[in-house]
Amino acid sequence: MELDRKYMGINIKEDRNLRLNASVPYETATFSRRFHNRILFVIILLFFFCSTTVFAASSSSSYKISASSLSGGGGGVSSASYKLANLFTDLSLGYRVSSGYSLGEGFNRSNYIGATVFAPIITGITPSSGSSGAVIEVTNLAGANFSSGAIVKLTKSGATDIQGTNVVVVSGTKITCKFDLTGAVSGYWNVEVLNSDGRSGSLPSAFNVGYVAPTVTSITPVKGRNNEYVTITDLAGTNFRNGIKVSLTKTGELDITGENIIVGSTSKITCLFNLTGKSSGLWNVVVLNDDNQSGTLTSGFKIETLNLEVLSPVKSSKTVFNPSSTALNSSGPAVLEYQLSKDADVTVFIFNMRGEKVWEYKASAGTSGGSAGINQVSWDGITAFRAYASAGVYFVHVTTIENGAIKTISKTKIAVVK
Amino acid sequence: MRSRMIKRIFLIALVCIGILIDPYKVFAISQADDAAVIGGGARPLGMGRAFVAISDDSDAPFINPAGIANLKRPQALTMFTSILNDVYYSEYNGALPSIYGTFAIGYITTGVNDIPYDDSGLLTNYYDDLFVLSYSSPLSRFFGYSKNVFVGLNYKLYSRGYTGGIDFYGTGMNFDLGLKYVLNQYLSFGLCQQNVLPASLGGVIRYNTGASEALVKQTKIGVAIKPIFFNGNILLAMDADLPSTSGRPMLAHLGGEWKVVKGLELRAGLDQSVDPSLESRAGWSPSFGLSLGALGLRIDYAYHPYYNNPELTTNYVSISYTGEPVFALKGGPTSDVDGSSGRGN
Repeated sequence: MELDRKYMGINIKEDRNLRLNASVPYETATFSRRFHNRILFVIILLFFFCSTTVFAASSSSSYKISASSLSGGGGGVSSASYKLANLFTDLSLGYRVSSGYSLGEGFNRSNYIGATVFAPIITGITPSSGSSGAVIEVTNLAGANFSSGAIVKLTKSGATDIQGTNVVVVSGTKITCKFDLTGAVSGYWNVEVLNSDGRSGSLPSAFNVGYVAPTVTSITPVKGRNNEYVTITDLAGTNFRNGIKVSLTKTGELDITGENIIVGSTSKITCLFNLTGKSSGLWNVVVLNDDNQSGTLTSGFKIETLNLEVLSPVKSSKTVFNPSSTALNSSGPAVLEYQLSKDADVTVFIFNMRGEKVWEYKASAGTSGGSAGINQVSWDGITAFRAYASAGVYFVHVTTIENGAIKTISKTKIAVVK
Repeated sequence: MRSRMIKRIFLIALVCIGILIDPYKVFAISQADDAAVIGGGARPLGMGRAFVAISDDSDAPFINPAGIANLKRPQALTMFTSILNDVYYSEYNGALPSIYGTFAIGYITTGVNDIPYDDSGLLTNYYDDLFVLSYSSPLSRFFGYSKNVFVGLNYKLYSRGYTGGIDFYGTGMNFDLGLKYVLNQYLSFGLCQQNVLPASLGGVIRYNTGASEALVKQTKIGVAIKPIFFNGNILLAMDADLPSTSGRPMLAHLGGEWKVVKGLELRAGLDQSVDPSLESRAGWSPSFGLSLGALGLRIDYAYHPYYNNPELTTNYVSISYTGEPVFALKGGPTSDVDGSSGRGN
């Protein structure tokens, strides 16, 4: 007995041996074939549709995924294009590689095999700043999709690009290189990476080029007294800029700020310091450019406490002196004149040739004989022991007390005759 | 015995009174000082110039001429120093004991260079030389007793002036009288008056300008003690300079000497100098010294600050040589207080 049935267009016949035989009528087979062809056609259409949107090639025959479609800037991992790329992976139409996405086996036959389809991504650069004129070594240009042979450069609108040297693509996520910033204008520069396949990535305003830090090599004069203004005629160094600040610093002391600062050149400054009342000792000379970069000359300037000095040594109005009553009446006493730098307690001693102190004159600071400026002390030729000085040589010592000890600051000789 | 003692005391008192009377204590009379005021060699200077009662070296004429009578051997001594770092000072002397007493000769040359004498900066030099002839003998040579009393006499010639630029120079003369009494080996006394000759008798320096200056009279008295407790190795002395003018203070000098071993002696002293800065008009300064000797040669060094001013510290160095006796000393003492008479180290 034969049982004929038809199921979904397939004829099923049972023979006498109770075996089932299925056959597809021509129409059904044709329909099925048509149905599958239609699905394939739709897929192909869909693929080409995606090719025009996702795989928008840079060239007319492009088969690569555009950089923007997969980069963060182009929508990132949440973008439709990224999802689409994943879709290709899921569909085994493409596969994910470290440097991007490559098309799958199904595309190999269409010459899509091994192609890098994602542009480099830059997420950071270390260091992120450098001084103009310096050579900066970038230790970590971080990102993704870096490929061997990548080119790194700094770009800035209106400025010549700075090409990175010694570029080493450590991995797809790290590059090291050097930038020679000689002549580089200051400001923020973009960092760009250009892979060998022509794809590039950029991190805008990621690198700051500053000015070179100033240095201080010398200062003239090298010292001053703490009762005066001192004019610095030549503060020498490098990379001085207008707006620079100059100061003297010392641990535990307030800074002494320079006044009337004139930047004569990048290597010379003149200025003025008020040292009045400042502590003595060695001070550091510090310059601070307007970009907050500084230079220091350690212990480069010395502030001295004003010492008593004899600006003009003691001199007798009578180098040959005859101290007798008649001579004194006719020519007067010997006037000892000297000039001091400041008020001080001063004692004038006169010694004879035997080393005996035979006369003295004490003057307190600020009084006659102990005042800043010219002082005059008279000696009538009579010793402290009420006798006229005998013939011989007498020694005039102008002294003060320094550190508890007598210090002779000036002396002269007087020839005494009869 | 008692009468001899009375005579002895009377004689000493007479000499002392005669020496101490000073007719020149007047105000504002210019008196020339004496280069010998420095105080002999480095040994007395190391003892604070307390040496009048000791004075047993050939530099005794500059301190107490009576002291050279103690010498039993000929001796020569020289000393160099710089005073105030401006005054050069050199001293030379020699003494020769003989049967007629001890004769000595001394010479001090001191001066100053580079003295400005006009506003143009021209310079001149000043010299101040002192030449001394000295004689000393036990008093017993003349009186037959008091063999432990010694007298000495200096005849001094002065020459001073400028070498150029300033036409000023002068010469003069004077005498010193000295007395030394050795009571026993532990105690002695000294007395000296320098420049005893009054101006009226020619004790002045006369200058080419017609001016003259009397020489400063200086009276020195002293005592020296050798304590018995230290085997004779310690010697202590004290002097006083009596003022010759009314304006000057009395000055005192204290000193000691320790004979560490033969050929090595250490000294220290306190020396008083005139100082108008002080109310007393006199100030103390320390002094230190040492002596090294061998084979008759002796080197003495003294370190002497003045007026508490380190800048005025003066170093003195003297070198002396003591030879073998030439003549037996007639009437010399068997011993004296310092025990170093005629020391030849």
